[in-house]
Amino acid sequence: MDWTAIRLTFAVSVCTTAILFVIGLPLASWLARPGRGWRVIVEAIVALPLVLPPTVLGFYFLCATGPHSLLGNGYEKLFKSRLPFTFQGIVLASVLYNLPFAVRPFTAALAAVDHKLVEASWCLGTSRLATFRRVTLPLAWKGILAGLVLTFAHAVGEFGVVLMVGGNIPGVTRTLSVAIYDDVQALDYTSAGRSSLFLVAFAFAILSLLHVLQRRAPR
Amino acid sequence: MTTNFLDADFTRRFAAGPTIQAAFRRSVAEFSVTALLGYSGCGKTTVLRCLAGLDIPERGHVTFGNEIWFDAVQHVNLRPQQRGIGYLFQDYALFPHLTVFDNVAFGLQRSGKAESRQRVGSLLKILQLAGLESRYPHQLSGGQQQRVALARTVAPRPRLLLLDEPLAALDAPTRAELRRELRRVLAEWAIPTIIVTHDPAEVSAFADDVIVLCDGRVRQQGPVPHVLSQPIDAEVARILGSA
Repeated sequence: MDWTAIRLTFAVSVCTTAILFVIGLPLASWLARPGRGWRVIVEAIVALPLVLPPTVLGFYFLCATGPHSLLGNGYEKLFKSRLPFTFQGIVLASVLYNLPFAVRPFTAALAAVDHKLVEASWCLGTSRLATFRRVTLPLAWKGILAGLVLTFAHAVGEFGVVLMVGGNIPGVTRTLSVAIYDDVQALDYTSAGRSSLFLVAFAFAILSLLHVLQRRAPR
Repeated sequence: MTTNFLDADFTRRFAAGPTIQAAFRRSVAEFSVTALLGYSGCGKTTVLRCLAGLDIPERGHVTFGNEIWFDAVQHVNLRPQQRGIGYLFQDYALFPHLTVFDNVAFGLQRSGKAESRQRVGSLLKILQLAGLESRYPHQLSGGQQQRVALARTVAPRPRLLLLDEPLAALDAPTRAELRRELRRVLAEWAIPTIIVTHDPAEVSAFADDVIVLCDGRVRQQGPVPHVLSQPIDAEVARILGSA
């Protein structure tokens, strides 16, 4: 078993999930509010990775973060490092690619909270932020948890974007799914089988855990 | 200059619906109950939501004493948190994930723990809810939920109580029982109250003044006995008799 690839895969997935929790919740909270206009456009942008081939996203990511691009140049000056073919690069690409897997369940869960409860909290003198913490989050946590688990599981299995943006550098960008692809190319079916079985068992375990957690929740 | 008045004169427009125009002035210097009476859909709840700051009118102003709560010209609009009001929703809007105690204590975050416990205890006793502290809203009857919502609304000591059809979701016997009780507890807390209702019996039972709304406009207002005995036209008489 390629433990280096497993460690790297989990590091990418944990970072992706944590970043999407922090940026996805406020975005979902905005999208969950009633209203049209900009929200429709942002919703469509967020959903794009669901229909785009990972190679397309990877291609644009490489174009946008290359050393001759504005973003890539700025990043290099700021951090003395480049985004393509680095750990940070695959995390950022993974965040973009997993955006809908986090934001859509978050949005659905937040939109399902009765707005009158939020208004009741405001009328009791509670600030918007405290209302989010004391009313919205406790009532929407099942959907938020589902979004986090889905994001994590999806990031673990990420292949196309990681290969495009990160290449195949052992210990830096060679995640488990890339390692399986490599093993198959090298006709090492035993190693590919072991890694694949590990991913199947992991996906099954995490989805079962999610199911149990949601069924056990008191409300 | 008199300063102890709630002065409201505003217009709220809806893209697909009636335009609500409200203009009234009520004393908030001492305890009194003002009923907003009208048919369903005439804009009573919209008026209450504009007073609470949950809806923003397009035109006009709302002042409370010397405070400007809303002024379209000066672009002033205080948030509900800044108005010091208590709002009781028609379906109570109790927090389903919190116990009765935590629901009532929700607005008492700034009070100390002991003070908060003491205040919740006394409210639950007044409203005959003692012993139900650890229950969740779904474990309560409709009447108990109404009383918990009322306790939660008055717990932070609001300066103005806004009650949106507080008895509408109850069955007839419970409604009759709570109608008597509501006036008693409101008088005990002595908080000026505006109550939305479509039931003339509720107006006679616990309001001092009444504002009759029809098609989104104030048709008549004044002390209850006066309006009941001298409706200005047949429409108001119909609303007072069978709304």
